[in-house]
Formats: sequence, structure tokens, C-alpha cells
Amino acid sequence: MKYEIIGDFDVIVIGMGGAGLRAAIASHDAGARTAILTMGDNSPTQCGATTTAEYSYSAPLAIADPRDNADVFLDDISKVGLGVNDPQLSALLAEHASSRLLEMRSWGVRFDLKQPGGLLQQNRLAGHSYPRAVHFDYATGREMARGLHRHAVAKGVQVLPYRFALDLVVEDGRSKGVLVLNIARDRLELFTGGAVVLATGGASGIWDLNSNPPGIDGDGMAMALRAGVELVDMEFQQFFPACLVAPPFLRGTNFPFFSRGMLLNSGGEAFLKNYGLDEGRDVRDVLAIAICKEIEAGRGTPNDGVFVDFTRTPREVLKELAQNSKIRYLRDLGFRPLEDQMEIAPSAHFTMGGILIDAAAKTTIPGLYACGEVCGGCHGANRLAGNALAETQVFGNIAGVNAADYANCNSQRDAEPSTDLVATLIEGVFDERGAKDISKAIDDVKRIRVIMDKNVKVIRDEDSLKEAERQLAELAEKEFSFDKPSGNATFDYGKIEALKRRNTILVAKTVVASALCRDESRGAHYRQDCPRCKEEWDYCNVVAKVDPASGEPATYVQQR
Amino acid sequence: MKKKALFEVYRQDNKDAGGYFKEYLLVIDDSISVYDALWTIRNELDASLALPYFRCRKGVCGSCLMRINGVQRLACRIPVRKALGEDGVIRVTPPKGRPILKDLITGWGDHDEV
Repeated sequence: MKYEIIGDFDVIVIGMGGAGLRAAIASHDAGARTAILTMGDNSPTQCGATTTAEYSYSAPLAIADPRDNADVFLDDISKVGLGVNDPQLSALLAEHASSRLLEMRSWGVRFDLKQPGGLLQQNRLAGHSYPRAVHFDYATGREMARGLHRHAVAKGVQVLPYRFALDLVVEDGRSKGVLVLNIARDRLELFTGGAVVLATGGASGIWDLNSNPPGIDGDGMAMALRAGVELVDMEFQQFFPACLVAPPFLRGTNFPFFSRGMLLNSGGEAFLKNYGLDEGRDVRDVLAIAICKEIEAGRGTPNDGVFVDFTRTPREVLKELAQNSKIRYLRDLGFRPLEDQMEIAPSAHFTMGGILIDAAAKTTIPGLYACGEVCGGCHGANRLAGNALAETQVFGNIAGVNAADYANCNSQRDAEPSTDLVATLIEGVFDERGAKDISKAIDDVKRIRVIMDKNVKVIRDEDSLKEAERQLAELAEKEFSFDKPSGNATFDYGKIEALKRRNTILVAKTVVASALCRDESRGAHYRQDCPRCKEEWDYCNVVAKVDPASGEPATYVQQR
Repeated sequence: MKKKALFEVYRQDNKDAGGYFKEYLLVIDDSISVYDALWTIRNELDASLALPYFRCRKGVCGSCLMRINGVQRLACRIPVRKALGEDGVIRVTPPKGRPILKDLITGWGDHDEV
């Protein structure tokens, strides 16, 4: 099967969110010819989940409180991480979050100031000992994406839009590039290069009710698994406590304002106090579990949610909220989100688990690096607000520098993979006979999301996980093949959705296997059949890897 | 409320081809956004319609910038109810000033290396 070989770059970054952009900037600065591959447009405001990140970047700048520093920040991260974190990665996050933030400011990324020309404004969010949240309206992520994209392109980083990565090419035990579908031309491309950086984001899209933009479906994790890389902590998926569940076309819209109002059950009762909790004070995992328990107890709304009510919210706060861009968006669509009670429920938001990396953002395969949400380790059992954006910058930089260094030190001679290997990878996806299974494959992806919502959500147990395992296995039995790229089906994102089927199945199975393995409750992983932390699980991680013989994910426990 | 709406959607096969309009008659909940209505067309009536893939779900990313009955705006922020003219028609064209790559997918001019 035909494919174009593109060997113009030393470092290929897959994904154009905050982590990918930061990795590309670092790699370029270290002297490597660097390209970013992105599924969507080459647009400064369409940069993965980073674009949609609402509020904050955590940095212990100690502006609002001089007692803050990286050590206190690390303590906070470890406290909610509940011993699951990789201490080395968490320490890097705590130590470098501030300098990466100030660097972005020097590149023209704007943040809210206390007064014009003054210091950065920092607010205190749940789980943080001191005010650390640096923000720009409720569109901090979009502002970061805009500034980082502009900076990267101005420097000379090459953005290659409309590329969907199909598989990593690993031969002789090292990375040799990536096989890509060019969506704009409907053709296959083989990017060969010194190093590859995976920055494809998390896996929240494998749940039906999720708060992410389209495309965040664990594709990078699936590619890594197929290449023999290990994933860690995949049982830890953060569910944002409050996303709209109605009307249907707004399902999954993040509603972060809940912390300024009150959550009410169907009887109008402010129920969180019954669980000893408070909307504004408690962290996401415990809020999500309490809300789901209330719904499961039959006190939820008709759409399986709870209400957000602002009648007791002070008028000044409401006035401030009314200015918010998302509130205005909902108003444009005809809603009155501050006056009427909106229905919310926890929805898949952020994947704490992911690719196992070391302190240099290296995977176990030489030449393959990973950064951002696609990785596991730095957050542990739960993630604090604002730490996702900080993670993108801290680990984007580390991955970019080290990938460039690897590429600079390893000559590209003999870098091209064998044609047999590439042919095998292509045959794993496309069929010369040109079968047409696109709509059936898309249906399967939708079914997987429903299976995950039903069985592997905030509250799980052995029975629900086994049921998910059974249904996923049944669904995976069917074999699919797709038309080989012919140059005619350009911009066919339906085909991309279909091509994601095998990734979605593999990542979903990995989440289920990891959740089955950890027979205790900790942080965001709540098993109602074993609802407490077990001591024997302290400082233990579930690691998942594809068994080469069966092609199925298998797990083992690693203790630090 | 369910309403009948005639969508006239701009189509262009590739960046060098000429443009034309294709009509789709929908009976839909008129509170959904024009962008959601376009995706309904894409998913239920015509899989060949190319739409921008990204969406932020909060009205800020600009992915769905297009001209709706001649006015440039974000299609995710306007409900069908408001976009419908008296004639029951919603005419959708790509935004001004951007190169058209296919249908409603537009590039960014100086740096759309594809």
C-alpha cells in the first residue's frame, strides 16, 4: 500500500494542546527541526482540551501569601494523590510550575492582574493550602493556547494540521517514527524522525458523559500500548462534579459555577452536608462520589442529575458570574443559568493515569517521549484544580528538551523502518479489498461510551466491572476493516471516528482491568464493594501492558 | 419546540473547485444551536458534508465561525429559533476572508500547510 515518507523533522510532536505546543517550543529551542501533528485545524484557538480549560493554572508564586512555596505545593499534591503519585514527577510539577508560568507571560500570554500593571491575581481553590490559581477570565486555557501557538509558529515550529496518528513505528527496540493519515488529502504518511513526543491528551472521551472537546479518546495511550509501552494508574479517572445533563445537546458542558451556588436534590434539599461536604471547599473526587450516591439513592432529577441553585448566592457574586463568557454563551442559547436551576452530574473530565514516564519524560522505548495528560504519575489518585495546565507546561518542556537531545545525539542514518513493518501496521487498519464498515464502527464507539458510563463511572464494583469486561470482549470480537486511503475521502472525520474504534476498545479494556485489579477505594477510584483504603495498597501502582501473545491488556501491581 | 427548517449549506469539493448550495429540510428542536443542526445533517442526512472537527462546547474557540443568513457569527452560540428567517430558511456559508478547504472547513491563510 502506498505511503508518503516525510523525513524532514528531527522531532515529531503528536498533539497540539498545551503540552504538545510547549514540547515543540522546547525542542525547537534545543536545535531540533520540530513538527507538530494535529487532528484539527492549524488554529491558535483549537488546541485540544487546553483550549477548553476554564479557570486556572496552579503556581506557588507566593504573591497572595508569602508562606507558599514548592514544598507546600508538593505536600498538597501528595495529600490528594494519596500515595499513588510518582514522587519524582509530582516534585517536578511543584518545582517548575512557577517558572514555566512566568516564561509564558514573557511570551505574551495574558493573566488577570490585581490592578493594571500590577501583580498576578491568585485565588485559592479547593485542596490548595494557599491561593495559587492564576487565571484569565474563565478562558485561561484558550489564552495559553493562543499565546503558545503564536510563539511556536513565530519561532519556526512547523504545524501540520489534519493529521491523525495511526500507530507508532517501533523497530529494533527504538522509536522510528509514526504512521499518519493525512485527513486533508486522504493519504498515508510515514514520518520518520529522531524522536517522537506523544502529547495526545487523556481518555475522557471514552465515557459518554464527558466534559472534553471531541477527539480526547486515549488514542496516544492505545498507540503506546500497541507499541509495548506500559500505562500506570488507569483506574484513576477524574469526574468533574458538575456538568450539564440537560438539554441533550448541552450534555457534558462543564458548569464550574456550582461552587458559588448550592447543590440540591430532587426534594430541594442541600444534600452535601449529609455527607459532611461543602461545594466550595471540598475536592473533586469526594464531591463526585457524594453526588452520584445521592442520585443512586433515588433523589436525583429526571435526567439523573442534581440541581444547582443560586438563590442564596450574594448579589455581587452573581453580578460577577453574569459577565462570564460561558454564562453568556448559555444565555445566547436561551438559558438562564443563574436564575433557573440547571441539572448537573459528574462527568469524565481528566485522566490521571496514562503512559509511564521517568523524570526525563522518557517512555521505556528509546526515542519515544510523552507529556501532559497522556501520561500518568504526577497527580496520583486525584488531581487538584489548576494542576493540569501546569502539568502541560512543566512536562511539555521536559519532553521537548530531552526529545531534541536524543534526536541530536542519534544520527538519522538507518532510521527508516523496514517496509515490512510499515505494511503490517497499515494492514492492521486498512483492507485492500475496501470493506465499508464506517457507520458500524462509529456505532461501536458510541456503545463503548455507554458501557463505560453504565459500569465504570464514579461508583464501581466488581460486578459492574466484570459486566463491562464481558460486554467489551463481546464487542471486540467483530473484525473491522476500512477503505484504504485513496485521495477521495478528504476531510472525512466520520472515518476518523471509525478508526478510533480499536483505540477506544483497548483503552476501555485497560481502564476496566486496572479498576478490577485495585480492590479498594482511593481518591477517584471508588469501589462500593470495598469502599475503604486498604493499607496493603499504600504506595502501590497498577501497571498495564499489552500481552504480546493475546493482544489483551494485562495488569500487575508495583510497589514503591 | 419542533420546527421545520430549510438549510441551504455551502458546499465546495476542494480548495480549487467552485461552490454551490445544497438544501436540507429538517424538522428539529428549534432550541438547538445552528452548529448542532449542521452536525445532525452530517450524521443523519449527508455524511459527505465536511464540518470543522473541533468544538470547545463553551462558545470561545471560533471553530464554528460561519456566515448565517449573511451575518458572521459562531454557529454554536445561535439557536435555530433565532437564526430562522421568516421564510424558514437558514443559509450557511463559510466565514469571510479565509481560504475554503472543503465545504465549511476553512484554513488560516498563511500557515495551513496540508
